[in-house]
Amino acid sequence: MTGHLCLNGLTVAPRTGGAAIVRDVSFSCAAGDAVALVGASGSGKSTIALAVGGLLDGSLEVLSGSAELTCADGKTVDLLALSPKARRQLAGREVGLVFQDPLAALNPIQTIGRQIAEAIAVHERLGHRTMAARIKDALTDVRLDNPERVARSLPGELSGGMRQRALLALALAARPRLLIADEPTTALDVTLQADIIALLRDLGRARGLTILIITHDMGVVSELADRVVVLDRGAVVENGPVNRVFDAPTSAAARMLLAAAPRMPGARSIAEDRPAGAPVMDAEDVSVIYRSGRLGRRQTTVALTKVSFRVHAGEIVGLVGASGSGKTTLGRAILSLAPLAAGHIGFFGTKGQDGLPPAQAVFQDPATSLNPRRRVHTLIAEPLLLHARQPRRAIHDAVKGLMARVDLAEEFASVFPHALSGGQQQRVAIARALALSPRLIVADEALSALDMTVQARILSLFRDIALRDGVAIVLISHDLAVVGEACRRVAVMDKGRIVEFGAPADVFARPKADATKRLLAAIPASHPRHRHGWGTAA
Amino acid sequence: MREVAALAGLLRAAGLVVGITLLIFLFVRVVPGDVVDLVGIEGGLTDAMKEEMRQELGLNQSLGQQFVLWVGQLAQGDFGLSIRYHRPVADLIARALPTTLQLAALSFTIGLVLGVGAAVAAVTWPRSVWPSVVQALNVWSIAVPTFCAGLLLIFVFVLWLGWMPLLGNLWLASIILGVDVAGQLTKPLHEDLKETLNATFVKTARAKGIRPILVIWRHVLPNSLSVLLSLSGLVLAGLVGGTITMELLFGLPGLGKLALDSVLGRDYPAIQAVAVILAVSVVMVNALVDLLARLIDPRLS
Repeated sequence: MTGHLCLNGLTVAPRTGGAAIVRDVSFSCAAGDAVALVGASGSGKSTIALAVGGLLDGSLEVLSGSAELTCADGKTVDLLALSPKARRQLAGREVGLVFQDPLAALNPIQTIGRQIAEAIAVHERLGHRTMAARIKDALTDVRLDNPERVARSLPGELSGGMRQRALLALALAARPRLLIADEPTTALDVTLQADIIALLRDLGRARGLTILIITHDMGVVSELADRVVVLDRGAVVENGPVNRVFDAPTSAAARMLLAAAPRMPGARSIAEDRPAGAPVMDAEDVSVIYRSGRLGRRQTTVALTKVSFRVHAGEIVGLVGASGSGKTTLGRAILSLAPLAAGHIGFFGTKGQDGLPPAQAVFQDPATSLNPRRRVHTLIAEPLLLHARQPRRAIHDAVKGLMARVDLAEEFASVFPHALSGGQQQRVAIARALALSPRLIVADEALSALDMTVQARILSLFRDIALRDGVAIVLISHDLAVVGEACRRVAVMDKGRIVEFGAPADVFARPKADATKRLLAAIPASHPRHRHGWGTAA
Repeated sequence: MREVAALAGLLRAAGLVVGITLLIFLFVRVVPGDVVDLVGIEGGLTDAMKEEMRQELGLNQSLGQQFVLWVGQLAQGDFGLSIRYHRPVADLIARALPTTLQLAALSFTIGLVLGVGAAVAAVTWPRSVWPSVVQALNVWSIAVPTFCAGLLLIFVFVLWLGWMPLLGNLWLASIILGVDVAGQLTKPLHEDLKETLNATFVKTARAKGIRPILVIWRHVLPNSLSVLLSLSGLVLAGLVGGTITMELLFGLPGLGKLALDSVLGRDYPAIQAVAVILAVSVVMVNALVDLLARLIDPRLS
């Protein structure tokens, strides 16, 4: 095989023995191509990136295979056969690596500039001035405004999108010709993802970069890749040009990934024509302001500005918007978890019954929102123990009822959360939220951590709870398709305000606000033939 | 907010010192028998002579009066007169303090170099002997009290091999305390370093092609320094007690020795002065640790 990077029979296994994590993987990346390595979580795709980068941790080892890289000087070397020293000379200069979560991937206590300088200084001895200029160039190349300020900033002082750009600048600082990017957009919201995809595309074109992108998101693949390599349980099951894989996937793994790809919201919501119930919650001119910084130089962040909206019994209201638009803050305000600077949030018809909270929450990641040291029964019973003074027997029966309500088999009552699947964990979280018979549930990205089929089932559970129990649900989501399908109304948020509010079919089919248009435009194409023109202007 | 927090911290520290002085004052007087009783037994004083002596020393006043008098003097930097030695307590302390400071500084430095060195070496070369060294140091410091280690080393180096003198042996004392300090620092630091080593930003650093030792030095260790700092605060506070044992064992004329002699002799002004100095130094160490933490981690400031 020829190409910029050729993998041949790569096999990686735990050092202690046991099943191989990567099995006999061979594929090649032609120079200047963008190759997507796709697979479900646990398919071994990140391990391949680490093996090629020489970054496997001590518990894994390469059993066999080669990774042949054609260097800038035309020589071909096997990355896996090099001595650590020889390999370090190629690291950064020939191969740049970008990891998933940019906040974790940057040293939190060093400035961006210092971290970039280090990447350059490994390979080139530069004077202070030249170095500063190189850092500025590196940051300008990834289209960061005000590169001097970014260079002086700590990672924690930048926004998510800026951090991802800074990480990209770091990986490209020593001017490698091969970029390996492990889930570079997964931690970002759709609009930022579109920006980064556009940036990668342009960098690829302008510098002739070969890009190996590792992802589970076929939307990213359709926008970016020339070729697709599909992994399933550590082995390559499909390898072909992106159009062919999208047109006629031959492997089950590819078909599954394609089914889970982000979609445009459908034309019609199934919930729209249902009549509104009685009003449940009323938010009036709600403002939330966060303060930070020292006396003198106090900074205030306006998270919500005069937001007003009303939610009715039995309806699901979607809350969408770019990250930082205030949708999570609004959710927290409804739950009385954020201090209101102004305005009022009221619940109708609460009889002041024992001071029970009228709103409950279901969060994104059930693995972290459930105490891992508590059994399912205790987790669901906890709100009852806190608020309702009831005999043991009654609480036991109530938990049983709640578990039945969320379709969770009774035998799970005595297990710990880790023994449950993601979908089952989320059902526990929903049962806990229902325990005090709330009038409203805030579901903050409650479906995002789940895979497609589970997502559909949890969504239908939400629908059922809204319909049968008359509970109002505020569904915060980045997935416009889910919102379009499930919600009676949708609120689009931008910079702390609701900029558009209405039936999903109207809002998504005839968007009026710029924020809505941007959100819709950022959804990756469902097929590489309909690729967006993001970034080509630059 | 920061200024308010700093002021609150300062007030807390001041309150702590005042509280400690009061406690010390009371504890010292709870012990039955005062200096006059002791002298009386030694010198066969009559009750009338004892009474006269108490009058002279101000010991017949109420506890409250004594405390106010003492704190008043303290506020003017006057530690009072030693009952035993009939000399200003400040003089006694000025003579004892350098020895103790030397001992503490030397042992802490030895402990820091040894402990940090072992932990860093253990994460740099995980398959070498270093992780076992970390483990051994830790077990040693937990299982072997310093006086035991001291007796052992005295037996080997002084009595058996005859390489060095016993009395005034600052180095041997410092090494014993230093190993103890190293054992307390190295294990938690090693654990934290191992955790930091798994962080993604360490992968980023390695992907740049810098040498493994630099990855640890520039990226891993700085991110674990906060652990080392807070541990150091505890260890330094612990050294206050640790030096006393060593001073007695090796006959070093330090604060610990002074404190013990004063307690045995019911020399109230001296006991109180030593205790106040130790309390203030512990509080100061903690304040210093907080300050350093802010310097190391820019996110805190």
